[in-house]
Amino acid sequence: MGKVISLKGNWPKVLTNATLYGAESVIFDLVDTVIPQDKDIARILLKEAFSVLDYSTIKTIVRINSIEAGEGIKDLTCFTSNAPDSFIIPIQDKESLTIALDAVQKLETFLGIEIGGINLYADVKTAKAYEYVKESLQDSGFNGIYIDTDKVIEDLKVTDGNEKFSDFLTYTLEISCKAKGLILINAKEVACY
Amino acid sequence: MLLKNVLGREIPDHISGYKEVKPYTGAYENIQGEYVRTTSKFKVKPIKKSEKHAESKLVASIEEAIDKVGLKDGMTVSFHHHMRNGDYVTNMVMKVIEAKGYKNIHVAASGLFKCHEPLVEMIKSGVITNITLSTISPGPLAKAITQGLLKHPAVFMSHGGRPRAIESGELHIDVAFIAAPTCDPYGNMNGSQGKSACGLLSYAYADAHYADNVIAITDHLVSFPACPVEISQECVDYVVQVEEIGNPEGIAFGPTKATTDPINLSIARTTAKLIDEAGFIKEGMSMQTGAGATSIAVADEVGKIMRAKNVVGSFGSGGITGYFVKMLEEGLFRGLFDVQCFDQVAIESISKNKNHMPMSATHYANPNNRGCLVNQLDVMILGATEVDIDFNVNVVTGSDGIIMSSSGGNNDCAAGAKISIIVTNLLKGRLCMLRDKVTTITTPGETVDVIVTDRGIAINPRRKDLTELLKESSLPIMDIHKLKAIGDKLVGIPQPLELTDQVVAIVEYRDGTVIDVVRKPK
Repeated sequence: MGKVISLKGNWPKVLTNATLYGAESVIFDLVDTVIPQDKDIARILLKEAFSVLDYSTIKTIVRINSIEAGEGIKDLTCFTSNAPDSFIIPIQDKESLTIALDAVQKLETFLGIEIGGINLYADVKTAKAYEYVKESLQDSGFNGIYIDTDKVIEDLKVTDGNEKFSDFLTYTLEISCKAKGLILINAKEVACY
Repeated sequence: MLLKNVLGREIPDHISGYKEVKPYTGAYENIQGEYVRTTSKFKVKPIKKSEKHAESKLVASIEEAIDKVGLKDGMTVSFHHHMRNGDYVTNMVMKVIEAKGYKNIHVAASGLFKCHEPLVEMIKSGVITNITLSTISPGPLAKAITQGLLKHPAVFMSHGGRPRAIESGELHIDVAFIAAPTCDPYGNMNGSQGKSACGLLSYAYADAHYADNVIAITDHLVSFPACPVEISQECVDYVVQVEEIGNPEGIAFGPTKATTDPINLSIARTTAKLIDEAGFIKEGMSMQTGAGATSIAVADEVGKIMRAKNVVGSFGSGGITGYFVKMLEEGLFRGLFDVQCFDQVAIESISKNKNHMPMSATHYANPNNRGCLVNQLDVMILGATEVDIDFNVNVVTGSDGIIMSSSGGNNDCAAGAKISIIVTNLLKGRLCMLRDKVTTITTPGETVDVIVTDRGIAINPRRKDLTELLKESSLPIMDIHKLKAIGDKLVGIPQPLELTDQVVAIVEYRDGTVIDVVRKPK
């Protein structure tokens, strides 16, 4: 995977300029960089952006909120005409994975896209999710993992040696992904604008 | 009655408080012929052999100095802007003038900034009725001018136009107040030393030489002689010592670092590539950029190519930043010509490096002398708030008609440089910066060669040589109409700005003709 950047989902300027950053893949973030009260605005902006703007020169990835919690389903409604190339979806366990796959398949059917046409990345923010995806993501319908090791460490309540621990988590997951043919996106290596 | 200048701009034939209106006739039409430098009317104090060493120009206060020079209602006072947003002197002097009850004062500052907000009340009360300047930053004063609060429209001159007007007598200064970071009791001063060091006093040279009265105001009084002497004693009538003349931190109030934004970095790389492909990166080249983050990034990218090609340039010029100092120290340029130090690195360099040279504003850009520096520039990187399809540039007003800046050296450098390049994002906020017609013309399209944006490059069709030279280039060069269409497609075409008939500012071209006027927005 080439250069990946992440853009704040409710900032019109960066949505308009998404193709100009020199990145191969652009993540449109609806999760961490958009506060709860701005999520609806971000959805409207993203819907307009994907309807009007030409993103054909980049690979588009939309990072959505948890589908089980409801916000993620609202995020998927942004896409009424054009879908992104990929979604990053929070996954905790088998149940959340099944719910996510179902929701995306419905969107693919609605948009007339072949099932599995949209790539999926599991968004890993907890120790539970880390352990689950490392063992079970192969042949699940997901293409890769997006990991924010800071969040995992926060979940584990580790206080000392965070950097080494972060490296350990990343390296372990890298080996697992390589062995299983999955793509790993490390949040630490993604420049945010 | 309205006159139309050669660019089709409508200008009243008479403007209150302004000289005879001469409409702009072309970028180079008036830059020829014979000129006369005016002189100032000054007093020589009698001295006797026995008393000459006792002579001192020190007075106890600004008020006393004002009394001694005999300031009167309606007179013109001048200030320089080397302290930029950290200047205390303009406000300090004007408060004394206000307290003493003077009215109808013409403030002829080389620049005014946000810190000069106290002048707004003096405009409202009629203490200040005229302002002439060549630099202004957005803020309360710019807003007050836009709102038409001044009795007479403000006059915006270029950096070269101001000394031209002073030398020719068009802008006669009765009293020049010069903020002097270091000064001796007999009036020798410099800008490079003292707690308020600002580097240089270049914009004040013309004021010092041509004003009828010159008052130095310093917070660093040293024993005679102040070394080095930048403005010398023969120009100075009185010296006043005050506690502080400014805050040096206000000098570098804008960005003087290269951009880190990937889009603007991409613009900078594209611009450097274009300069190289057009054949300008070669032995003996010269270059000037502004102090904006993208302009500095262009200098950085050009520097990389110079290093790779083992090129040594002739000079860098303009307001100097640490980036240009680094290029000088590295040997990428043989010299720097500095009219204003933009940061502390430049301030330190000017006092220790003999190849980092001060230049006066007239040396820099006055079109009516025996040859100014901009005539020797190869490459000039310019900014703009708007550009139109005829390549006319606006740096004065935003698309809302509010005054944001003044001409500065924009039209001087565009006229002189072999290639003048506007670098900008195509979209600014929710607007495309390419327009059918710019709100205010500051720099005529005749002198602007290339626009480099994040979505494409447009070359002025007048520059057939450049078009031919770059026809095989892989750079995204396109017709300006096509580039504008890209922007318009993304953000739409804004409604025309609604303006009143009231002229609030006159924009002079560097030769003193009126290139445009700013009208009060509705």
